[in-house]
Amino acid sequence: MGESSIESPLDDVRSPLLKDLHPKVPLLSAPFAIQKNLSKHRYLLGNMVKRNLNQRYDKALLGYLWTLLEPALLALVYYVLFVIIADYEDQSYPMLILLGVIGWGLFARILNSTVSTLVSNAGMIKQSGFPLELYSASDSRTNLVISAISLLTVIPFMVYLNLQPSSHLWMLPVAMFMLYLSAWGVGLMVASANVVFPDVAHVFRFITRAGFFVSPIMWTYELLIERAGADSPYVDIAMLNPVVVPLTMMKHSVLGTIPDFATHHIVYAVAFPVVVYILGSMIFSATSRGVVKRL
Amino acid sequence: MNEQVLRLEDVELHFPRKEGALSILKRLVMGFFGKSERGPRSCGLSEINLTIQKGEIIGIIGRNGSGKSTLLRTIAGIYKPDSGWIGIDGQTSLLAGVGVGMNKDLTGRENIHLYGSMLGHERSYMDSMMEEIIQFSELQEFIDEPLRTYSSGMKARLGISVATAVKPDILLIDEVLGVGDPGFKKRSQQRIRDMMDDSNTVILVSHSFGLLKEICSRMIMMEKGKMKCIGTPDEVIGAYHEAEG
Repeated sequence: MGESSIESPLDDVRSPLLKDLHPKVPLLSAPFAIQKNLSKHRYLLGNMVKRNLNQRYDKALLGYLWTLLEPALLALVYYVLFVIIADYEDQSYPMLILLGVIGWGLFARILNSTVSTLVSNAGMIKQSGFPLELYSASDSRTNLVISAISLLTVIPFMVYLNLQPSSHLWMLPVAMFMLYLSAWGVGLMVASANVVFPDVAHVFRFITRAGFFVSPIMWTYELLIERAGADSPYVDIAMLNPVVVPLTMMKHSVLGTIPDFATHHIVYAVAFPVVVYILGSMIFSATSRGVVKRL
Repeated sequence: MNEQVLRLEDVELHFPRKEGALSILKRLVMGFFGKSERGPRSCGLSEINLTIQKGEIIGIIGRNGSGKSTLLRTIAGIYKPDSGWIGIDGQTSLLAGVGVGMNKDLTGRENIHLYGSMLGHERSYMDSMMEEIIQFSELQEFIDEPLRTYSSGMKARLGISVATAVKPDILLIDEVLGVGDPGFKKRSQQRIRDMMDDSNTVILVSHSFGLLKEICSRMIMMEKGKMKCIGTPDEVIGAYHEAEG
């Protein structure tokens, strides 16, 4: 131990007990590796979700009530706008818009927060070595909780419209899970790129803003079919938007009806979240740790 | 006795410098024609070869920007080296900037859970340590108040109290020994030393040579991202003063 220069410090052999600090995760197992990390750190994940919720509402006088109040006020505006001012015939229209706004809000918020997850958590990332997917997972789950609470505002509408909860309500959690997985998956795909080129976040902020209008929030899938005709190529183009099916499912789940989709549209809408999550987890696992030094 | 817990082989890490769009485009075009060149970068670490045995206490010194913290973060797995190999036997825990990740709107108690889980603890462990942590921090009467009502000294005390409840296999410390008022500082230094006795292996970055000389079994001096020298504390501190002139 006496030498003070370091010409060849590693004259001994590598101990077999040492484990590679950055083991190569085979690409195909990345989707599972991420889930494994999340379940391993579920205590931390829970604490982070709690922190996010607190950060948002704790200081406000009305606290968590804001999760309800915000969409409720929005719904009131729609009600005034469409039912009272425009004398819209369909009394359920404001509720359908409200459902669209909640679903779209879930998708857009998860997408934007995941795209910039590495940049916005740079301070903590540089101080702690826990898996990077925890940051976006905790933000996404926070948004899932907020949206789920927001859904309570639909209840007064259901009472007003005399709608009974039907067995089709199963579509609601499924649709929200589809939105969650799609947004998180796409976000994971580009989160590392956003560190190198911060322009990515700007592009996605634009996409989520423009997306509001090309998604069935102010309009409905049935309206699209009615205007364009079921066989129109425009319908196929509009259905490339991965949120059309889940948002429509959300609306129908409350109305107690089954939406009438073409089979290939359903297949696409179900495959989209799965495929982008698989791709996203692969890209994120392979690249995220390497871009930390650029933060 | 010859039990390796950490080994770095030819570790290199470069920090890319910010580059304009035109420059990136130019490099892409050049790359297309087979003349690939690297973007601008600065050296973070290079030629790091190091083996640390179980039970060692390693002190790292060097001037600002010499790569001390970068080395510590690379060992903690935060930075991934561009090349080289790092092998580790056990769990590391990095104490740096006490209280990072604590939240001002959560209560002291909730922050103990949050910060503790960030340091890699399970709920059961944090539950069992809770009373001891609160006692050590001397914040009993404030513990259910939100952190924003704390003074900066109180925040630091809470942070240190949680951080020092850790018992990892390899403890990495980055200059956290000097927070709080003198009384607390003395107690926390004592606690960190106890912790060092409990943890098997400690690597710490510090500027307090007196402390390092007292506790380290070996020291490393960093310069411009390289290990300038490694040896006994006397040798390395001597070399540091020599280099400083």
